[in-house]
Amino acid sequence: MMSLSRARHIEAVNYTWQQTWPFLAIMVVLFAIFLSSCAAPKSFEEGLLYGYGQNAALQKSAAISLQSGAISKADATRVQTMANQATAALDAATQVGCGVTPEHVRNAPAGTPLKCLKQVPQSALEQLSLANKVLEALQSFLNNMTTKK
Amino acid sequence: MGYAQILQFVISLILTNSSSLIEVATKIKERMEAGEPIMQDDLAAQMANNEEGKRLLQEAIDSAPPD
Repeated sequence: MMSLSRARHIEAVNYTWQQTWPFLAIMVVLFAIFLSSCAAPKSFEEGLLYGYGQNAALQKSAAISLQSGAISKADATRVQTMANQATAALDAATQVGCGVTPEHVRNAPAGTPLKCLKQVPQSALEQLSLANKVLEALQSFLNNMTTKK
Repeated sequence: MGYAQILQFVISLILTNSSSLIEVATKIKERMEAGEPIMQDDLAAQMANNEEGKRLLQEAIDSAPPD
């Protein structure tokens, strides 16, 4: 049979954990975002791959956050608008910088190298930069929405 | 579902996505450092991933009740 002091100790530990874990969890998320930015791409090709991947991850996060009630429908619609902007910028950067449309990329035979221009045009770099800015804003928006609830 | 459970769920999801992003970025970096070119398949895979995210978000919005 559990003693009264032991039961109180367990209760105190549980209470402390309930109070501190959200703070710890937010710290872990910020650390993960920091690690993710450390692994950020350096070349134009890497930037495209990373951009599409990050956009996909954020949209999936938003979908599940909406289903779990962590964000509202209006928030999710805003995420969708921003994600569409990022996709459009990435598609434009791919087309100008690598001379291929998303359609070409999807239909390319397996093992075809992605050959982007050695001197990537300024407009393509601007589109990639725009996509990155939208993705940063999107991530920040989603983090704010989910931690606010 | 309580506040704590929702937050825990969302955080675990974000962590999963962050770690998969790090994994993709690291793999590609290793291949580029080894002098291997990036393939159009790699880009096509990420584009398909993006399309899937778009579809899932649209489905979630369509099925969610009004605010």
